[in-house]
Amino acid sequence: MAVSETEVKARKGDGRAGGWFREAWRSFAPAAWLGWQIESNWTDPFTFAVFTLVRPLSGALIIVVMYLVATRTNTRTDLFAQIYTGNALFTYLGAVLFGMSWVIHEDREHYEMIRYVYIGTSHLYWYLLGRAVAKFLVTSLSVVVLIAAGKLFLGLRLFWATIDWVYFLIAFSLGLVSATGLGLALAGWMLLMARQAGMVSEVAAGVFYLACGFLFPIDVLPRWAQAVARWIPFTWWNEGMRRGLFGHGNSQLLAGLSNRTILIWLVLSTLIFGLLSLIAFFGAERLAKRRGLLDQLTSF
Amino acid sequence: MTTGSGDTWAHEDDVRDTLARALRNNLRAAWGRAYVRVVGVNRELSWLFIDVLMPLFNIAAYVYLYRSMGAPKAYDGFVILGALMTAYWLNVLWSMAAQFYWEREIGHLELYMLAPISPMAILFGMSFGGIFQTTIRAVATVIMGALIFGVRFQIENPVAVLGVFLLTLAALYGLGMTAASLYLVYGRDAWNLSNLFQEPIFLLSGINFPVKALGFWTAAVACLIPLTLGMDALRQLVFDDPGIGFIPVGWEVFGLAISAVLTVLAAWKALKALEDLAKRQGRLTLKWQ
Repeated sequence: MAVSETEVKARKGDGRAGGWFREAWRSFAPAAWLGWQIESNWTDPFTFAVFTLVRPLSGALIIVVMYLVATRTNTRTDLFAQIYTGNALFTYLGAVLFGMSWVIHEDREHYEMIRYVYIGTSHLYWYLLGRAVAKFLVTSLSVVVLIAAGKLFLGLRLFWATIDWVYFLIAFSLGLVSATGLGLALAGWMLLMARQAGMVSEVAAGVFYLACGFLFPIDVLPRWAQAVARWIPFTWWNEGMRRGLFGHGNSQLLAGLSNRTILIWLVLSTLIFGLLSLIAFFGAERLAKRRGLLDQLTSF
Repeated sequence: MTTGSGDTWAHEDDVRDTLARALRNNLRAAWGRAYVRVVGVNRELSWLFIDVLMPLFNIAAYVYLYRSMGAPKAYDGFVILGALMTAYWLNVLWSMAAQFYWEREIGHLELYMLAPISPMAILFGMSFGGIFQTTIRAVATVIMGALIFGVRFQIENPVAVLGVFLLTLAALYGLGMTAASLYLVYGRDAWNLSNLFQEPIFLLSGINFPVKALGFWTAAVACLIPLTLGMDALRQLVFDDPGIGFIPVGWEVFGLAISAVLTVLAAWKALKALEDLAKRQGRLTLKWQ
């Protein structure tokens, strides 16, 4: 049965107040639900919770043992609090980058559904954003447990009364926008690449783990790397979150800047980064479409 | 009698021919599976670049973390040695154990099962190819890491180091072959199991620190993992620090040899058992589980 242009527009929500939002939501919400099902429905909730928490807890314990071996002190120090919290917060970046880019491989090569997703959603990026929600929720659970475990068992010097929640949440949200933008750019790149390139997101995460001061202050990096770090929004994100949580950052280089300046840098770098990420995503998508790569299967 | 002896000889010749053909087929299958990794994967230079670069960032992050905490210089070497063995462990997890998952999804697994060969031949092929593929990447990473961070290894007995290293690989890839059998039956659940065996194993095997730092009992339990024994033995042989080891190298070599034999035997048994189970349950070629 032929569908008139008016009907297509009505279905797409064109010309109606909030139509654009409704259309986006219709792609975003099922994708979020689907992401959650894929993450969690392979087992019972208890096993899922254990699997979700064991990896980040073990990762944190590696850092704890390294700290204890290297410093031969206890964990009730400000240095330890900075290292431990930075490592916990970094899991958001790793999860968003990997979560968003891996969706392309999973849907294309594993479930072989990407052509239907591409046709059926208002735009692929709403779908990708939706799929990132499940990763965000699972990571949030891990981070809360990590911080709680740190407080309970390691004497983590993080005090609720002194946390500037407003500042922390603003910085946190802005950084999340940057991370999502980069996740989109990587997902676009994945459209052009074979399955083995799934490691690219881990390389990207590795760069930011190293360069943005999540584990150690950027002060210990070579001078050229410090200069590069100042152009990456995650450096400002990291510094902003630390100031919200502890009242100060971990870098002497950035110590002279006021909280407001940190936020301004974070906003500016997020805007630039976000814009570049969108350009990269749409460019890659167009190229993939032109080369017929959207539903390629790369069996190796 | 004469005729009877002739029949026996003819029968023996048939058996010998059959065995020789089976051996030849299995060796060809193993080489065929290894070829993809020995030649095919190394043709794609961008992957080689990424595989070398990725661990390098992790090495740098942990080296700078140690430096920011004022750790002794020798600890940089622990990180680099850890990165070397991490590469093999990740290869075991994702390109050995979980490989059957991908093979099933893309339809190769049913071909392996139909072919007149043992699945063990495919797994041996994957192991040799995986070791070759990982060695190129891991050696490049270690050399670059050592040059960038000025790490010096003090190897007094290269033969012992090579022996322990090869024994560790045998035990690890035997473990990978055993784990691969799980994927004949399971799907995402086994995938998540492979995911789970990353950071917890890195922690228990003391990838970035001497395993004795975990305390006696935890380290003792961790010695059930071949990676722990291999890492501890290599650290003792490569770094000139008598207080660094958990147990003497000789005992670790013994443990690794036992592990290597047991894991390959376990793989053979598990493959047979899980292949039968998968056939009975109709899950051998079931996609998207």
